[in-house]
Amino acid sequence: MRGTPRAEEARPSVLGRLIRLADSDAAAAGVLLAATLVALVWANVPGSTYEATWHTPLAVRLGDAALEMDLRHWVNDALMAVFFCLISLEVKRDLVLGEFRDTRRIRIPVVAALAGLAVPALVFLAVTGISDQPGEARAAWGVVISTDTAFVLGLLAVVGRAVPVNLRAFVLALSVVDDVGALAVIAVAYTDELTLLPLAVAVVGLLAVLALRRMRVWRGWAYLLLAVPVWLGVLASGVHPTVAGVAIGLLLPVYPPSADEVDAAEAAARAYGRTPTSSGAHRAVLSLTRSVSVNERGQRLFRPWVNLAVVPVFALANAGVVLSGETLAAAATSGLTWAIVAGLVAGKVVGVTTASLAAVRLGVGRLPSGLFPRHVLAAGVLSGIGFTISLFIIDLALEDPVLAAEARIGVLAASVIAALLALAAVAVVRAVDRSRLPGRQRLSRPVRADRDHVRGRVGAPMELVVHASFVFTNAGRTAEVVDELRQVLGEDLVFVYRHLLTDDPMSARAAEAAEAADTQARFWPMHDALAARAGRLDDRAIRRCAVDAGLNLARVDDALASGAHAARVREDDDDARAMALDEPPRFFVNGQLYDGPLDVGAMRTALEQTAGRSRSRPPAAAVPADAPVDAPAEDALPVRTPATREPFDAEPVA
Amino acid sequence: MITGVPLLTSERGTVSLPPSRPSRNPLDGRVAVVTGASSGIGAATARALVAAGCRVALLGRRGDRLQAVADGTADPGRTLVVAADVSDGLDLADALDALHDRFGPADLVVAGAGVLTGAPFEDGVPAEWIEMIDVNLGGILRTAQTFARDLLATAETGRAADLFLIGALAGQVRFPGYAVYSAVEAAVAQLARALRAEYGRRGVRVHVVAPGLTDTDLGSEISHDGTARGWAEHRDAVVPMDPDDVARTVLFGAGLPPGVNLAELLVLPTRQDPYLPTRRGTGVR
Repeated sequence: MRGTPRAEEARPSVLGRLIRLADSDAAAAGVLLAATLVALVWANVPGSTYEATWHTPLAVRLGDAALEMDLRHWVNDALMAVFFCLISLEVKRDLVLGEFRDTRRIRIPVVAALAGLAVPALVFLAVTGISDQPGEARAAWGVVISTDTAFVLGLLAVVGRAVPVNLRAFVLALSVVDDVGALAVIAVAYTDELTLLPLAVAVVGLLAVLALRRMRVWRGWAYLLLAVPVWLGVLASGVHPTVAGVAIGLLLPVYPPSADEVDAAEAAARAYGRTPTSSGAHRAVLSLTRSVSVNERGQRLFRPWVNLAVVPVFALANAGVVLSGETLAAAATSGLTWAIVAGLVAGKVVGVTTASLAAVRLGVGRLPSGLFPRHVLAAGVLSGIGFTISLFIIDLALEDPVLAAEARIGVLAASVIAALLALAAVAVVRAVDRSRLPGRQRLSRPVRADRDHVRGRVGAPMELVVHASFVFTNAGRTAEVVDELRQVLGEDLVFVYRHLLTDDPMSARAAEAAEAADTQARFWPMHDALAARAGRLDDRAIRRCAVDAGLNLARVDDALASGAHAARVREDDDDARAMALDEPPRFFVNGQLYDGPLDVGAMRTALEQTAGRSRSRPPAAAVPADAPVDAPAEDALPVRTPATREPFDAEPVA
Repeated sequence: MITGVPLLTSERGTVSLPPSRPSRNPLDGRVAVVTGASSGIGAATARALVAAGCRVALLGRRGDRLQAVADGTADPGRTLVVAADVSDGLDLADALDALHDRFGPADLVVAGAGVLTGAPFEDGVPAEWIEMIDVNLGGILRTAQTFARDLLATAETGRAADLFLIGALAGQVRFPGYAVYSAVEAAVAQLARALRAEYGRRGVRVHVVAPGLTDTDLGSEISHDGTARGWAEHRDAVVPMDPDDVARTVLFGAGLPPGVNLAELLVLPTRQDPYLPTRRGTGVR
């Protein structure tokens, strides 16, 4: 795979480069920030056209039926439905295939999000109560309940590798539950009348999506067509129409690529490679497309548009708060402003952190791997950035322009304060992570050249041990990353492979086959063959790997049938269980458990920072005399019995 | 007229051996595997084995041609067709499984798959060398290893167990223009001798059959013009043997009592001898 230049990389088009740029959360945050600043400037220049522009009506008409909204509502109700759809696609994927597949891990973000909705609202009500605000202001408690997903993810992207990769998943889950909660609040608390008939239409549309999924329809446009009536139905019902985006995102099918479909795609692409015809290309494209779930294709399709268009346009349409000396002075002494700041900044931190930690303590669930209470605290601070929905609810809840202006300033101030605090929190967390590094889980069994499967020299300054299995889908990716590290670090790196089984019985079969290969001194060719087929292994594929690795197949078959190497595999697996490693792959960098992402850069940094700390020592020069001999002694003898019994190698060649 | 070895009887004449034991077809009921069975000596051997009462697995790359050969045998019901490439160990392992399911373990293996290419050495195509090494030598190695356990188990019961390696005259004489082919075939002959040393004491008969020019499509893939012309001229000058006749020598060896091993056979067209390079210094180009 490596070394094959991809066409896209060889000659990136302007559009291609733009799309790749837009794929990053950091770029998204940058564009969002810029749009916010433009909105603020636009709203505050003398004789501003800001409000007038966003109140321009835009109508879509079909015969007598007309849908008319002002520009701001088109942005907030239509464009943002796409944004929320993308977010719920991401969460759905994490739920089915990713970090939150283990439901014990989703429970904590859910609890945190619920507390993150309730506690800020209570703080808000308390502060507005004490400062004796009018009833209208007190009814605006919804302003402080929601986190701005786009800003938070953008900020996390900017700090990047400083935080554990699962913090992003945690914050994402937190903010989606929080968004759903906020949308529910909008629907219940700020919806004046609910019309049931259109809502029923929307529900029928969603049932149709379910039916398509049941029928294993894989073409994206089929689902896209249904999205339109669902959205219209929700809009007409009085519920906030972005709920439609969330619902559809959660219902779209997501599944790992199946081995058969990947094989079929590969075959179609190869067939096209042999005879490049347009129908062949069409078949190959369909086949490739089909092997990826609608969910993941949807994410790929939407993300650049959401990052570069939807979110910035939303900020442009909503962030234009009029800031004058007068309004600022009024806000500074306004109980409403302070209630918002207190609710978002303090209420969120307190709610998210205490609820998460209490839930963990009560055994409701567990934190995602690699996360500690300090990370939860950072997540709480981050979730105080409440821009999008806060501004949105201000529009719904506050009629009085003075109160609305105070509230907007409160939201801006709270978001800026929360963002600055979050940056500080991330810096502190990072420092603590660094200092805690030596205290983490250590590799229990030191590497030994005569026991382990070793690539490189035992005793090299950098040591990477993996407990892994060949059956999970990113086993191939693991092998690629390790190969790349070995290329970059050369002789300074020693790589060790140990087993960690999954529930799949094929996991043990593949591991035992690799051990059988070791008795033929070909562990690594077998490792590479198995890794190349990772995720689509069955008994036949394992035998194919054995042949490709140049093994004596009959001996491998015998070893698998008799379970000759089961104990050896079990030994590794027991070690892993004893170290509380749950699912493969788990890396030990210089003897310490590695928590970061499966990424060459991050792993290289970790290896280099702790070089020389592994406890493994190079083996003694002498080879142990009792080295096992595989072949029966009889076969090792020369054909003609020599006068003195010498080893076969010493027999002179005639 | 069934006496000793009736298989050597054909319309071309009768070669009878004096019966050494009560008359019984010694090949009747044996389970044979023939690689390269879609054409040439392999196909002829498969036909002869079926005619002699064996159950035969026909292995080759082209399933349709194998089926045609199987259909043309005396009793297609005693054949098993397995499309298998001898350069792929997994194909052979599958063939072994299919054979066990259908007929049981093999006791007679004929490794007949082979290719021939040639060229003046300096013009030779390395990929062709690799193919010859991988098919003619590697294929025999893989075939022999895949079925070795069957043969050893058969021999342990005291019954005849045969491994025939089909080599070539070129392994013994030196043809200009066929240096690599000659080297590979010499390796096959030496492999047979070494395996005989290892397996003879365990009761498995290892034979090597080295045929001279035979009327098969061997040589049809020679890519070098000059060498291809020389090959065609050689075929015109020498009357090639019928592959069925070569097959009869295989059956003769297999039909001998288990205690006797007809170890090495050089089978030549009667008129080929004068054209051998050792005699005239010319021969095929």
